[in-house]
Amino acid sequence: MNPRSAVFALFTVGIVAVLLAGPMRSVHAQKQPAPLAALPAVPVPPDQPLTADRVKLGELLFFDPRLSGDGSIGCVDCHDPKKGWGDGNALSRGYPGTMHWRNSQTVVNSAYLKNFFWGSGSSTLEAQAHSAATGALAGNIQPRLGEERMKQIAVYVDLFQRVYGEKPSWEKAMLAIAAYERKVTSNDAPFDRFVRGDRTAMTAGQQRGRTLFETKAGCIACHNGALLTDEQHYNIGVPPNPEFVTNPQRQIAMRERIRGKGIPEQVYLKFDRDPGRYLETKKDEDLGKFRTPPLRYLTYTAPYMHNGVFFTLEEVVDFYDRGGDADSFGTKSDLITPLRLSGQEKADLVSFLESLSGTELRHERPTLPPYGVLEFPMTSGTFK
Amino acid sequence: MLSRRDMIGASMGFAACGGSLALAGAALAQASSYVPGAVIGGGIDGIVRVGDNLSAAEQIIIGKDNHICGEGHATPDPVTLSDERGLKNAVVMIKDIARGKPWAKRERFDIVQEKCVFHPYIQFAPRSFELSILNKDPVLHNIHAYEIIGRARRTLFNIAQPQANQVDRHKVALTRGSIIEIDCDAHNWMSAWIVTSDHPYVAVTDSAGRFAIDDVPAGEFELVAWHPGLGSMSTRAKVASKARAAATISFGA
Repeated sequence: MNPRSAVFALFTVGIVAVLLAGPMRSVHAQKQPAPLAALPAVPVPPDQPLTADRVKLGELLFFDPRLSGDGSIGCVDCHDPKKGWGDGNALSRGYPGTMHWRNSQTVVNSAYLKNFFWGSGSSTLEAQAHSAATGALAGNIQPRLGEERMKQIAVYVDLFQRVYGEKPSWEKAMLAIAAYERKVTSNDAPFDRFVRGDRTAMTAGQQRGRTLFETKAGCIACHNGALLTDEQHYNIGVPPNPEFVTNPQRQIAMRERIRGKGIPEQVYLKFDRDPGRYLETKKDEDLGKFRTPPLRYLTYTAPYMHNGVFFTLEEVVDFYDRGGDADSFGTKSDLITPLRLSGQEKADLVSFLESLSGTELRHERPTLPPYGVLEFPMTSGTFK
Repeated sequence: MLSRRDMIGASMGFAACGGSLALAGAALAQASSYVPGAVIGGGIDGIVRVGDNLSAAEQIIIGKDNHICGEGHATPDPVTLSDERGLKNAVVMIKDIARGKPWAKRERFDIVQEKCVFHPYIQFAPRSFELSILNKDPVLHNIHAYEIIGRARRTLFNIAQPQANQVDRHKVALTRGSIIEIDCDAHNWMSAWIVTSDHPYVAVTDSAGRFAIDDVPAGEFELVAWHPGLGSMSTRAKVASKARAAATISFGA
């Protein structure tokens, strides 16, 4: 046997041995996961090129609180660059007077996603921006009001004219915000550099963690591909957040949302926790399921899970190691079983997760343009 | 008399102290078993300075309630400097001091919302206390306090106050962190901070950037300064009995 054949044989035996190992069952019971990979170029709709003016307009609108009902909360307030482009809180703050019941997700690399929100309630960046800006628990604005406000800001009138050849409109505002968000990407993580050929980019511990991620720990079953998500939905038995359990306003927010989806009271009153994807599909099989979150930029986006119940990556790994927690919906995934990781293996897994974050994307808040002065015909016509 | 120069909203351009709350939390982590007792010690007189390497200001438009809150832009975390570049409103703390002077802990602290600004902007407190919250404005304020935990934060309380002169009191007890961030959910530029401590060796710098810490046991200590817009920086101070040590903590060159 020549050396190359010997190596191949050993590799094959190793694979077979690993396949026979218990914890691997769950990984290989599923279809072959997409391999981990470096990020490709950002997908951009051909009719929405990322021109300087379009991105600048989107940036200003992203930071502008006047695109909310009471003028106090912009996209940035739940997606703050200083807080990993999320809001840092376990549960998002919500529109003034409300308290949201889910964690605010990062904008970083969202340009690559096909499903947005924890239950995949939107399928484009533009639809996500619209849903968040108009949702009663987030921006709570009527699009018409937003249009009228933008029309009173000279800089916006000028930028809309240059970019879209028309007056400010809600639809185009959402397009511009999405264009800006497509610029918020991170692809310089140690993992990226390693995959591109820099063999010094990841430490030995991170490389061991990657192997665990792809084998014994089975994370890759769902966290796969360049974005480390299959964008499918699973119930992994995340425990309720005490803040949700003890705060009636958080529960009111969730039940208001459920009721708004047309789900009757006799159904939702039985829920002791977030029904997740069920809100979108109303199928019992989707109860308690949430879209697999991407794992990039993870270091900056604590706390973790749909309800922010874990504050550190160590807590996340411990959660998976014990096979998740109890489920009340009966839909918990078979993929979630005790992993029996050693202390060193847990540390390596955390190290690998940390290798998925590159340079922190700090972004200075732009100075927003003021309202102009409107001249109404106050001394003529019916206003005399 | 100092003529103050206001570097409102400036932030440091150097990464080592770039305003990271996570770094701050680590820097301000303290021994949790402070033992009070008699001290025949000295003191520390110091100043916190800032170098020239300041980047652009972060300003937020005042988008509502302009008749009360004013017009234009506001700065959530102002970096206010004296002519000598002394930094106002930095918290200075001796790190990991296990024993020292008795501490008559205040049990109640106050925060006031007036003209859409929190007063005081920054203060220090024990790890559990009662906060009295007053809204002096005839507009709705919604104070939202968070415990900073690493890079994350956890809601401590979230109270709407629609009435002028409304007062609410809330018990505060931290679980894992040492810094409290305070926002107003109704006015996104409003910002205040409370740094908690297990011991009394903490000070807030004055408008000249100066601070004094008294009755320090003799020994050598790490002295940490933290500012919400700048992050943390430290130096060492050697204190002799019945003597005053001088300390300078510098952010940037």
